[in-house]
Amino acid sequence: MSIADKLSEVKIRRLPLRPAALVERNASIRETVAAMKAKRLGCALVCEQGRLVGLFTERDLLNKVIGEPVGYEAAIEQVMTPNPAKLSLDDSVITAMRVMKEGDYRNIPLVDNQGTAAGVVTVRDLVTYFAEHFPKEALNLPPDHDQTMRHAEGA
Amino acid sequence: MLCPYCGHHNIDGMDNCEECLHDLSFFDVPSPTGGLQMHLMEDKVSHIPYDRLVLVSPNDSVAHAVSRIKAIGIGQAVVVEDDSLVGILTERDLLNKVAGRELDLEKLPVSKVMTVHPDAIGERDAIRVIVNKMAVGGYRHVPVVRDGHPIGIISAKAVANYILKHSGLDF
Amino acid sequence: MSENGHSTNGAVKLTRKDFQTDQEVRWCPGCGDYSILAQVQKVMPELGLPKEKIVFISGIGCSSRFPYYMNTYGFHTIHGRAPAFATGVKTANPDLQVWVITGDGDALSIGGNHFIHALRRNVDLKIILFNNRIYGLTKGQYSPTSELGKRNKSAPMGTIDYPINPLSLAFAAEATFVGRSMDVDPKHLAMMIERLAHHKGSGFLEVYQNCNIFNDAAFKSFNEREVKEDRMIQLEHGKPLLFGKHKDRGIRLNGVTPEIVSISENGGEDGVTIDEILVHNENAPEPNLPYILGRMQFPEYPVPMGVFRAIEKPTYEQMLAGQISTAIETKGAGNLEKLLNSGETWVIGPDGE
Repeated sequence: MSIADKLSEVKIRRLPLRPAALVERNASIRETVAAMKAKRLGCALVCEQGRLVGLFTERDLLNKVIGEPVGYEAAIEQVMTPNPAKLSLDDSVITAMRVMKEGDYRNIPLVDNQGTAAGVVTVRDLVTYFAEHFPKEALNLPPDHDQTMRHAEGA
Repeated sequence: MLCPYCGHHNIDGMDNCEECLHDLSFFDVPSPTGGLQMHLMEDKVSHIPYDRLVLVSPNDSVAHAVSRIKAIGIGQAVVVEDDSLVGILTERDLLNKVAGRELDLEKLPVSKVMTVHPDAIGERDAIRVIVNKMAVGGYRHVPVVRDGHPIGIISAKAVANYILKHSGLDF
Repeated sequence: MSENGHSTNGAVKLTRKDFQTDQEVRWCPGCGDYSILAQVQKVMPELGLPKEKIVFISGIGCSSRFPYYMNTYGFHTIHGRAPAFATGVKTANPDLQVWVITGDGDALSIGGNHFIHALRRNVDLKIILFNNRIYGLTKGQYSPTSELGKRNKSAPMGTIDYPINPLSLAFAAEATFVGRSMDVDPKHLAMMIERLAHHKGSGFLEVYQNCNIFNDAAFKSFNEREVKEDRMIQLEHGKPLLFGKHKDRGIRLNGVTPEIVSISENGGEDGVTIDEILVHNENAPEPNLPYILGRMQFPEYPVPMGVFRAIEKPTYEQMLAGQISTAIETKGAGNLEKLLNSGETWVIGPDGE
């Protein structure tokens, strides 16, 4: 099976996804930022009783908060992107790539059939997944890539 | 491994074919056989469109850097000193070091918030190098330099789009 | 010297670059060792130790080029003897964090003896064994972990040696931390290196590493990205041993033999529910169950990966330091000069008398 076939067959749920940062819509920006830092993610899923209602990303942080008159105690729903593009865990990896390209997104929240937030897939998850198919070519490189030996080494 | 010249089944890693004595050492190292693997190993990073570059100095204020990148609609600034790459200021740095803290961004210099001496690549490096930087190094933006001077920056989004394009499924 | 001075307590925070050296990294293109190096360099800054407190000790082999590429203290010692050096370093200077980098040939062939005793003594060493199932540096002879019947340079008609399982040997040697990971799963590898770093006592990590020149694809049959979920099993403490794309298969013990069963809520094909599945316990005092898990091989079983065993007991250097201080308290500090000159001594005269 070529990598192209794999990308269209493999579902997002098969990727090693990281647990999402979840906050309620009335959580403060400060709490949201803390949740993102704790989970080391670039976005937080904003929910109302478990259902996804918005997305707050580092880009929103840059454009709507830093250097702007809104304070960190304000509710996150003021600065989130409401009703973001979303996918389900059973959508394919290639669908995720297309949605990211079309919408120019880096993070896509994942929901189940009821609209409950179920995680997030990031552009880095996709690049890493791709790289794992080429361990010899892409994973096994020296720290300074100029140092790659051209031929086999041996004693 | 099969000798490509005479078809003899050799033991892995033999320097020469037992039958025809041809040099086999070149066939052990990874070489592209086609498709995405070929693109990964042969295409240079200059095949991937660079993102717009905003250059700032380490002494510029964070407020100044932020307003410049916001004005263009991007999320990172490349920090140079005497034309050489010394750092990168990204949204992740802002999240980790600025957000939620009582800081005067007009007085805070970029040097205190930026990621120092980020990994960079050359324009003639193969695609697999940037894939490695992102997958293993964990970077989402990698500056492209020529003689230490930044000439572009490639984002993870651009790499993902490149993969999509060459997978033949971009429609 | 780190350039990035951000930290909470004023101490300089190290980055990955601080652990890289300027040496040309001389491994073959595509070698799995690069991946292991990258992950070790990634984990080191997070341990919060200054570089002067870390030592990498290696023996001989491709794996053993490692200390040259780490910007910490390092020893490149003689074949198989790295654990002996490491025991000396750690007991003399217990503040150091000592890592031993070795390979299947170095540790299990010539170094078998030192390997056993370093683990047995529970010296706080972190031993990483790069298992590529071949002698790589010497260009392709079979090793103690090469499969029976494998055709290679020193066995042109196939090996007639039965291989040994490094994990089984580690359990027999009473290692207090035993884990396994692989070069093609960088995240898992990083996590295992971190766990090994935090363990106090003899720690052993086997890493399946691909030698693409002399033994290519040795592990591909089960660790390739697409088949990994079905042919490998992740060990997590306190969780049942499940595997498969949909986590619908598990391991159950039938006496002392593990069995693969399909599970589902109401009994599945084999009539088995999740309650019958083995739950992994890293902290069991005896290594009986981890030993059984360590014997599971592809294709009969999924290959287990993760921490098999992690127990704590007083380490060698702790007990030694304790004995030394007790001896000093009761008998006073010793004097080496005096000891050497005590007892019967004589001087050899000019005629040799």
